[in-house]
Amino acid sequence: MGLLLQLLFNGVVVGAVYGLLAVGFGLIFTTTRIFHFAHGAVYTLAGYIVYSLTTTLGWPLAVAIVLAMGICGVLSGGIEVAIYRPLRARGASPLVVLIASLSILMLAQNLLAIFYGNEIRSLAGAVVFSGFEAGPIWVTSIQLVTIATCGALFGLLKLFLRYSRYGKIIRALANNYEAARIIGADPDRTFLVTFVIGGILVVPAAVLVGMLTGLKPFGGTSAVLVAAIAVIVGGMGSIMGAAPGALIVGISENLAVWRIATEWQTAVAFSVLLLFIIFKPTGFFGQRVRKMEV
Amino acid sequence: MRSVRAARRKWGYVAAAVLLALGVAGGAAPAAAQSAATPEEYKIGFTTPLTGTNAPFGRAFAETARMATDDVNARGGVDGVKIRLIVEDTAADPKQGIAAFQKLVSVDRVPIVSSAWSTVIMATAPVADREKVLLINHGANAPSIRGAGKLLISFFPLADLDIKHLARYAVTKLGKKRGAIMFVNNDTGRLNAKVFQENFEAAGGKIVAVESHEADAIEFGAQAAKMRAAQPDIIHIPSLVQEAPRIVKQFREMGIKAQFTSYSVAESKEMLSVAGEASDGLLYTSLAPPADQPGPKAFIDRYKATYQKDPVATAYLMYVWDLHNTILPEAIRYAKKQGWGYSGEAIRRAILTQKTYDTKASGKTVFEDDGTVNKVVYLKRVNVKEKKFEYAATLE
Repeated sequence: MGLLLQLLFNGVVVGAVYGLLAVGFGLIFTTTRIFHFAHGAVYTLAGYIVYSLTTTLGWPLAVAIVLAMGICGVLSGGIEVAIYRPLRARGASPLVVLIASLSILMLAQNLLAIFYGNEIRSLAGAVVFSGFEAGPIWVTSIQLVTIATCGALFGLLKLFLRYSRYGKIIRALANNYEAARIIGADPDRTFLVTFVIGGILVVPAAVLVGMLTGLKPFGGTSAVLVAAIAVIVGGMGSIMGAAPGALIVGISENLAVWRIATEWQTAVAFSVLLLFIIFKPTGFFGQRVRKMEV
Repeated sequence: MRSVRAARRKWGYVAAAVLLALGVAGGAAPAAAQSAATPEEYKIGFTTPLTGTNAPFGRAFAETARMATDDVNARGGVDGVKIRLIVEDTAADPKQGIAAFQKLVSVDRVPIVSSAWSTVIMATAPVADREKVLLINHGANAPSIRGAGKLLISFFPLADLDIKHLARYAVTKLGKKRGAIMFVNNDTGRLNAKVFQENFEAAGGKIVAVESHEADAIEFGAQAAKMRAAQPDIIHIPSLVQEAPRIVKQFREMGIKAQFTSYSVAESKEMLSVAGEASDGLLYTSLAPPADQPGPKAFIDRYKATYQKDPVATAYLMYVWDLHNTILPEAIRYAKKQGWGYSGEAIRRAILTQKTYDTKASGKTVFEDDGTVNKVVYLKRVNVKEKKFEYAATLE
């Protein structure tokens, strides 16, 4: 029973980090209908920016995070303005946009591998995080920081979407694109805002992963894949559905090894998710979709 | 620069394929090409990962082989004939390893290829037999390498030598009874784990948990949870240079207090810089003498002076150095003296006939008739406070 609870808790922590990435990915997808795989590129770059600023230049972590948020927000918005917007203007199909996004991901990761090498980099250095027993489970300080950070950011995003002007426009565009345009929503500007928010949100995710495990130049591919799965599990069309979707992915990955060897972890977790999608294709919070273009 | 190299390599592979297709390379065995008379230079192939996650170690291997070759040539080569080292990239991948091997044999026509990484050695060995090329393992330790090829020589001791000693030492000397294993899911890791389990249980201990991870993994939370639940008093970690420190760190962070053990991969600067205090007291087998002894110290000082940096995975580098600085030049000289010429078969015969080499960095070498090697096994300990890898015991 202790092991089950420990795996459940570990799954929540992993799922919370996935959630930060997935919510940004989901926000962009739900609003713009772009499967923004380049989100993984921004995420990977975020980790390396913070790594360079803290380890190479010796800047304080907090300053590095704030600066990285600025850079990643601009970069993510820049991808929309410089790549996606011109493609839309030329009538490119969603598939072409998807390929462009994948190309950005591959390009960025390869450039990172050239500049930083393929070695795993850690943002925590040689620091070993302390922990304590909470009943039958072991909790570490970085796990608590992870849960608190993710919870706070989800809360802030929820408040932004509910009460801010752009939050309302984003929800309107996500809910009914044509109707929102008729009442005066500016898609280009709103899309830009969603990309900037998505870019900012990847920074804490990248920093937490860099602290918990490490950074790899090609880590963005699997991360954005998990984010995409979380969006599907949460439900396409639901902006915040990606968060519980990510939690389910994280918990599935961990609980999968409760009774079997860990080498089966990925296979079992994705089998469960495949079954989930077969029996509930609209996800937990998604709308029934009659036709979806990818 | 890199792209130019990659392009050259690519064209090299294309040329190899064309030669093979024309039957040119197949018709004239590369080994025979250099065997008749003393060649203008002794070509030796060297395959190692120059790309991928293992590249930092592969590059250090290549640097060491280059340094050893330059040293031999500076001494006048082998009886006045220079050695030429030709390096190709395997990315630690068997398929790419075979392609690199084929390029060396078909285009460069080398009769000897020095290589490492168990999966690469296992995949290349049958090809080496077919091409009559001597394949020498300088760093892989999977026990299945024994007998994998007729022309294969393993200069690096296989895991059933040091891990057998380690598992028995853990039970009989350290008094550990509940063992666990966390291995990398490849040939090296699986076989290392198997040898540890068999010998730990044969010595009277019990293995209470066996978990694995994929190469390149960085998150070990699920394995840590299961290890914690199993409550072992010793955990053996036959993993990889980059992954092992992260396993050690994440296991300690999960509150696991068991003794950690591993093998040569533990002796890397990453163990100190990534795992930090979590690695303190970790015991590992080393197949090279302690770094403060004259032989290893001379090698380490030489490497630092040549490349202006600290060596990584030093124990492995000592083997690369000894192979290319002592064993191969001496074997080539011996084969020439016997009138055997310069071919893969001749050099293999020379090595197994000479049998014993005074290899300074990795310690005295004795080759067995089956092409494997017998070396003294050292037990070392990670000392975080003094930031060093210190001698703990000699395992006989």
